[in-house]
Amino acid sequence: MNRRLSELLPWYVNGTLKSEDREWVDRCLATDSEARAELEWLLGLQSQLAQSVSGVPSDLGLTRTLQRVRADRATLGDRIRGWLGAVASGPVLARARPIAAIAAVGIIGAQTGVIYLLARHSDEDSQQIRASRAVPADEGPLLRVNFAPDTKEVDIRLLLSAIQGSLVGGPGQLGDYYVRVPAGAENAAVSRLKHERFVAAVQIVPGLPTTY
Amino acid sequence: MDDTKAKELLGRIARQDEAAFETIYRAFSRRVFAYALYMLNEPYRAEEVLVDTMHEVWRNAARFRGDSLFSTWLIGIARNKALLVHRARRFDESHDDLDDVAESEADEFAPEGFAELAAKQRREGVQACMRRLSQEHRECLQLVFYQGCSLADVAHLQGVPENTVKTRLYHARQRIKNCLRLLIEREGAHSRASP
Repeated sequence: MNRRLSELLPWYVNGTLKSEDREWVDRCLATDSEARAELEWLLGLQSQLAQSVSGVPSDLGLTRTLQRVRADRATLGDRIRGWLGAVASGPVLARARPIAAIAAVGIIGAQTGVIYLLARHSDEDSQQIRASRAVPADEGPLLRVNFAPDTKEVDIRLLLSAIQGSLVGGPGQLGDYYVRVPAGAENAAVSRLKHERFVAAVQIVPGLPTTY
Repeated sequence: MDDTKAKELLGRIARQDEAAFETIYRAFSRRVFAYALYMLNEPYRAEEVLVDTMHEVWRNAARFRGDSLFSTWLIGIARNKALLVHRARRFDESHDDLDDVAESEADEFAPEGFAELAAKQRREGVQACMRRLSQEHRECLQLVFYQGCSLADVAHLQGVPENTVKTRLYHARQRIKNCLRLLIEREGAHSRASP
């Protein structure tokens, strides 16, 4: 098989060859059995590669991507608010500044009144308010994970991303890392991490220990 | 999905149309995943590259100038993402005897040898041999035979002259062929040895 024919065959197979080259290859194939065998082999390779991900669902990773997209949109909202703020401080609305200043003083006064009224409530009430809002970082359940000694920081980041986890503690003296995953997803995360080669051990624990 | 349709959807994505994004995602996710998988050899990393790549499409849809196929632009983004992951991770130094075979030059095959390979090569064999190619060779085969890229597109994506692509492709073909031949010979030896 001549060199030009050998070079052109892959592009003949993937359909990107120019028409004049394609016609030339067709003529060669009609008379060259070795080239026909090579063509058959390349078509087989193409078919095998196409099948390699045929079982992969088309929505693989879609949920996580959409989460990021929606987070971007929230960020965009912040940018728009910032832009509006910048416009408000511009020359067009400069005349409105005294009015805005009076309104701001009014709001501050109203907030002061609300704070005063809250302060007059009993200590028990204010403790309840605090208890309902505070979410301590060490509340469980958490995953206690030990990574293999050769694990890199980027490996840990990728694993955390894969299970939507965030690091809340560690590494401890024994190399323990404490990871929070979305509520209810602990068992699934453990199952996944157990099969990762960078993970030496993983276990669900009720929360961060006092010392670790 | 043809290129015209993809570009139309991209225009809608640039206007924050989430439904258009989902359509384009479902149409191209396998191609991006397949590319990343061949580059990185690890499914969970390939999935990360897929998510990063498609997120980038959402964020930069308006920047696509339309002077290439959408799929080429997309694979270009995936390539950058995959290279970042590849450079950051530990180099896998495990080798076995197939690695040496894959790196050696192939023997010349008789026509019937090609036919035998075409008949016998199996998905697992191709996967195993692809993994043993160098990243450049693996990428070259993937871009040509899976992504259907033209010579000019492969050269553009890999950032090398077209002649370099031709040379890479030639050696990649020889090496994967050689690797597959060894697998077939082993299978033959096993079947002869079994009662």
